[in-house]
Amino acid sequence: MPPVARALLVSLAVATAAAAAEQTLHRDADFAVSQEAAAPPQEAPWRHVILPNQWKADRPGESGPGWYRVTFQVSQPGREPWMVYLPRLREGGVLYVNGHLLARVPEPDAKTWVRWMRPHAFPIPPDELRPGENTLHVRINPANRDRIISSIHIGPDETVRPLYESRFFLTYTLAQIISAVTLSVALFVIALWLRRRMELDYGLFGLACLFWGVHTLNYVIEAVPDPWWIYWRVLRYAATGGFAVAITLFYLRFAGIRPRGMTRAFAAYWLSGPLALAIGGSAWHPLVDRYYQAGLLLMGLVMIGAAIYAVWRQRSLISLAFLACALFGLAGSVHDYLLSQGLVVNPEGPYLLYFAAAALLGVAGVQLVDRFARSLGAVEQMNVTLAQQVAEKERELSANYEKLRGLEHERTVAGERQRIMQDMHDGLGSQLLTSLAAVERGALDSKGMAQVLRDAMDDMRLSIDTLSPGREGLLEALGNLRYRLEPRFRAAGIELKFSYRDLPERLDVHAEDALQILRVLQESLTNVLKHARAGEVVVEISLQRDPARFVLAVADDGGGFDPAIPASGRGLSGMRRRAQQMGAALQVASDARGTRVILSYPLPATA
Amino acid sequence: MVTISVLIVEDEPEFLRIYCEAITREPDFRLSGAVSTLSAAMALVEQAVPDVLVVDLGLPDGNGADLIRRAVKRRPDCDALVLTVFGDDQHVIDAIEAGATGYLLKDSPVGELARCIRELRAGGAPISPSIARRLLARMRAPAEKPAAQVSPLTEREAEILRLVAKGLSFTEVGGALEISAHTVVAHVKKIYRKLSVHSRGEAVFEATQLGLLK
Repeated sequence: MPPVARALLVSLAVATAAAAAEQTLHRDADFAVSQEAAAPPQEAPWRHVILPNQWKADRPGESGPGWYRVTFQVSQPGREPWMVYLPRLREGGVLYVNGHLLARVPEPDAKTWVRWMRPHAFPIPPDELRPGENTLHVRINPANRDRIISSIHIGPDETVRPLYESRFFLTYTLAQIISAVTLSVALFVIALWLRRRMELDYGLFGLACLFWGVHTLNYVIEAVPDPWWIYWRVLRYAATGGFAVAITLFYLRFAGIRPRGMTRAFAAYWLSGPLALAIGGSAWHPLVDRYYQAGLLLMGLVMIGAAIYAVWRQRSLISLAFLACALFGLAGSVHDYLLSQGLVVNPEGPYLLYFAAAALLGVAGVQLVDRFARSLGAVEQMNVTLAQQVAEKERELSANYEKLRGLEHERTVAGERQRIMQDMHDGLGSQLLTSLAAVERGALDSKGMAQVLRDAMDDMRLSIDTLSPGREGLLEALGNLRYRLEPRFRAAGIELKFSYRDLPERLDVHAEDALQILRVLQESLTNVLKHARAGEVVVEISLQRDPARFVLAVADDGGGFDPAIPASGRGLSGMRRRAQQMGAALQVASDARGTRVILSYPLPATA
Repeated sequence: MVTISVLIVEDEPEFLRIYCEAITREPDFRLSGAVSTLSAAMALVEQAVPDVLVVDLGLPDGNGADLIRRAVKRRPDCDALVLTVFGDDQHVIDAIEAGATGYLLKDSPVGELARCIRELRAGGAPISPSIARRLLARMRAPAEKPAAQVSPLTEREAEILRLVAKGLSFTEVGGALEISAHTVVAHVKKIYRKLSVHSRGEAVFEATQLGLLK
């Protein structure tokens, strides 16, 4: 049968058996002290006591094994099986029925440390019972710390067994279940936290579960070999304190309180008890057991404070649940503390904290799951919003890009127009204008006229050359110019030579400057054609570094001229003007052996 | 003496006169016709294709390229020389695709026409840097059509175009490649022929696609 179902059935049975239980419950007993191995005789100084009884508090002075005596009536022995049941016999003892040994519950000794959390029940063999009055003796070892005995049930098996079983489930099986569940949850949550360290709440919750799982093992592991006992206690206090600290910090964070100093103080306090016990040994045990645990109760107060704050601030169902759990937890802790210290009214009542702790962990778990689900939802929502925003931005960007491209295009067109206008103005326009003036003055014969028109054609070709799309830069334009002029030089019987030095694959120069450079070259070459009476002309094109310059040198072996005479004309002033416009230097040297024109054009730093 | 027959097609009377004089001046040339319309030129070509066709592209009744295409089809060894005002690239490329192997700026010195025709008949062809660059781009462009996947240019031809595009003269290109200037111009002519065949191939391919040819 599943434990939970059994618990329900058991509690039902408890209710129906309540009346019968009254008859089986024995609260009246007699007590005597005796060193003997057998129970004290009838005439011994028995004294009446009420169960449960704490012999240590009742009569602190008395020493020696303590004997409790309970008498009970049996009308028809042998008809049904009987059972004796003690809800708590924390440190063991020996039971006798009618002077015969019934059971020996192991007691702490030099080899083994024992603390029974489970109830004890033993069937009484039918032949041990006699009609009328029977006697149960329980011997308690005086070395026991608490010297406590709970009340005793004696009765027919069918009446007493359900009481025993429900008690066993509550105090032992449930502890096993809680321990297993909390340790499993702890493993899972801590693994989650290790992947996401920033989520401190998962870490605290995982640690709280881990500590509580270990703490609850205390209810399951009831006997420990003595050398290990002290470490078992160290672990137990570390777990109990750790749970208190972790769950308190968790709820402080839940309430929105982030006290750094308090965290450290809590951690320090948490370590103090187990450390004292680990270093000081068992001599420190009573001190730690009493005062360290009492200190932990104060954390319950902190938690209640946090819970009230959370309720006030959040006004949520979960904060109310938290407050209820915190109150329950503190009550349970105080109860368990008093119980463990032997200070409580009902020494046989069950320990409560582990129900309260389960509730605290449950509420915390619900809160974490809720937050996890919410954050997943938030992430999904955020993804949707983000996608929308990205799409929106994309649209804006492409619209902006379109606009920019439009503007860029307009700017380019405007720039080109400006350049063509300027070019018409400086080049063809002024050329035609001066020619027109000369024709009107009658200063031009047909040969001169032809020359003027040819020059105008040449100039236009240069414009077209630099304006055409897809040009590969200055070098190609220079090549085209050379290609066009070659037939004329051939016709004039002048050898036209080009020499290139240190030139890159392509050379990009701003279109306006390229046009000016081409014009300077064309002007120089047509000068050679018209005036120089040369046999050879060499055009040398080179790049110079530091600073980067494009150098164009035109040298002929003609008759030369005097550059100092302005009237010699030859377009020199025009060439100078062009050089100046593009920030280039123009050198002209001429003597009887020929003329040399050098244009030195500074390249942009990146060229 | 073997004479070279020349047909001149030019709608500007002044230029027509100049070109006719330039041809008749040469004893080894024979002017087989001088007309100013496409239709007249077509009629002459239908009778007999001359050795050399000197043609202006912009004729009043049509495009000179059609005449070149027709003439070269009828007689593949016919040399077509295109007359151009500015030597602007696209018109020249169009003419080469139609089958032209040479082009001449209209304001060239008088002797140039005869020199150019002789070069053509000797197996050479002129080329300017811009045309060289255009040809390189055109014939090396990534194939857009399946029929034109393989570049028709040899490595040597591409190298010649690259050097010309950089502004080198035929002599200089020959010097760089250790071949004669004459070999260089022969290569250029071969490239022109290739482009024309290549473009005819494309035309056939497109016509087939359109269902015009079976």
